Amino acid sequence: MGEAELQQLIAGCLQHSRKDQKMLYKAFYGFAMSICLRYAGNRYEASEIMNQGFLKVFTNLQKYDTSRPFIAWVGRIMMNTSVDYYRSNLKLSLTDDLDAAEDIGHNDLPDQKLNYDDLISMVQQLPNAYRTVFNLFAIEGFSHEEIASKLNISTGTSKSNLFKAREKLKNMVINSGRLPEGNSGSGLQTIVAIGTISVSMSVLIELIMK
Amino acid sequence: MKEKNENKLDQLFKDGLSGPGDHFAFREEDWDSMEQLLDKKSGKKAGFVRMMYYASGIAALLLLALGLYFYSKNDTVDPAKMHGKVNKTQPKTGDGQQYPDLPARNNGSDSLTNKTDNLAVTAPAGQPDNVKPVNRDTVNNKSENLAVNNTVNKNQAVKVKVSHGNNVNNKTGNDVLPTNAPETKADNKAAPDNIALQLADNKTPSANKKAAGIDTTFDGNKIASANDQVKNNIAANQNIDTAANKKAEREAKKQMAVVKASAIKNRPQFSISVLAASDANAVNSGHSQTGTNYGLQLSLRVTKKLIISTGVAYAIKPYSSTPTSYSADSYNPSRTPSNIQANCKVLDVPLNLSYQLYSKGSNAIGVGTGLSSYFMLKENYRFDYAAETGWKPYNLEVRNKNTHLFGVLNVNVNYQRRINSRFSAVLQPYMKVPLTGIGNGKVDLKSTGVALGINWNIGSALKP
Repeated sequence: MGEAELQQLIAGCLQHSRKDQKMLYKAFYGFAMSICLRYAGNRYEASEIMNQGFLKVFTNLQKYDTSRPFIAWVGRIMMNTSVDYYRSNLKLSLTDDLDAAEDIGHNDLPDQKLNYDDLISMVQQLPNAYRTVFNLFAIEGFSHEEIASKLNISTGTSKSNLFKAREKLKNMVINSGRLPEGNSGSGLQTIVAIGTISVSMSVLIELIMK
Repeated sequence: MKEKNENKLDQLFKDGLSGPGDHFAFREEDWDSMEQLLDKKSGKKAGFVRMMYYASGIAALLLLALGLYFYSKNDTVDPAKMHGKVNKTQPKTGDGQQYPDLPARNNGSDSLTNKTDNLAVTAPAGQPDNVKPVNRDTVNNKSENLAVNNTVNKNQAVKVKVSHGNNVNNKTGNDVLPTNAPETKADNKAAPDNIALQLADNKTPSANKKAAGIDTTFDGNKIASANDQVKNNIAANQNIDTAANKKAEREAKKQMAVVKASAIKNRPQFSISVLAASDANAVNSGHSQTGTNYGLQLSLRVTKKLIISTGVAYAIKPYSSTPTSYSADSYNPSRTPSNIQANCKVLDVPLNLSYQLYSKGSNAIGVGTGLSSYFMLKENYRFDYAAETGWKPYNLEVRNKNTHLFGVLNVNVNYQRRINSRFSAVLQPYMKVPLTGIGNGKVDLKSTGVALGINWNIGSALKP
């Protein structure tokens, strides 16, 4: 979408034009959904958060600073709406060694590429508190201090939640890596077995012919 | 941040998840729920503005009613009318002068207009010898004396009585009014003890019992001592005109304050009712359909029997109408429908006056009437056409277009049953008859129903 077209849509939305609102919604649907889905437990919740986010976009459109990128503004609203959505149960805390959090995922991670669906389903399996901190730290790039003030939790809780999130994600990644290896091994066994059977069958047939 | 960037796991997720967002195809159902959110939001906003508009209207009406009420109340406290007023309010306020309006025995005196005179002179029934005609000056002075004597306790009264009994000719006679004492000449030789005893035996008139609200020590003995005192003073003070006048002025001022206080005490009583009603809506006594009402009613009891009430009610009024009842220029004139189905959402703002006919125990019945203003929020009409025409029904929606200010006459009967001091249950059969055409079709839409609700008396909460 061109800048001029975007400005036109924004102007239409400011006039409460439902048509322009729909076009803007459509244009940023995928982007907004990708953010909300990271923070949400499932697609249904993600849609709900996203719509609440869009409602904020439409109702606060006059506050948008046109000198800044619109997409970044929408992204920030989606992130904040997501965080607000789960704010009530973000105070899960652990007493594990917090420094260990930084070590997870450094060395013992297999070198492999995972697709978007795998990754998003892994993140969604995390408890809300872990998922929110992981998103804010690993993907958005906030520091623990920033996360702590954003979520109204202590930095210790933030670190602890990140540690737990990484631990869980690492296990999921490793397990997902092993699964294909196991499959290929069993395939080889099948090939060997089929080969053995066919060789033995041909030997048997030869013996019978003799 | 650097350390975090080095983390493979974080990087894996960051790279994989923060893509352009093209993984998701637009889903129409998400937009549908978005639209619902947007509608709700704009509806709320418009509703708020509308409610503010109506609320300010109601507040203005209430202010007007209150203003009128207090304006008329102020008139009654006009200083020019004070003298008459004071006498009327005496029994209620229980001040020193406020003795009952006993029958005047001293017919010879036409200057006895003050009720306290009557008491002072005539209270000792059966002792006509003691009664002396008095002039206005002494009357005023007596008022003052009585006021002072009101503070005398029982023992003092007895003491006075005894002293009179022992020294019929004593000069002081009492220690209650030392300023008068030197001039006092007790000429009441005719058995003062008897007077006192008889007074003590005299039954306090019922009006005095009211006075006991403030002066609980008021009793027969006091009347006795007051009586003696007054009689002593009658002789003594006949010549002290100017002093008496000043005292009278002071008294008038005091009484004015008392009357004002009583005016404040009689402030109007407020109550709030929450009502829900089911009613039958019909046009020109045709087939009726059932509607519902939910409302809030604020009542102001202006007198013991008269109540002004206003409020706001949200009403859903479905009805069916024939083309003859429905104003023809309101629908497509080229097609006359066979029948019209309507459903109107109305904001009903009544202003009613009700009169309490019966009130006994915890039950009260009243009748009321007044005018309602209808604010038509949403009107839906479906025009059905005769089957042979083959035309499909035509739907029409009209929003916030029609307003009928004081366009509907209300008639109701109100039954209240008290639950406790604050709450009572309300049963209110009512009828609403339009004085003007209602809605888009200007129909004659009558509603008859019964409202049920709870009334909360908040009158005492407003007391200072």
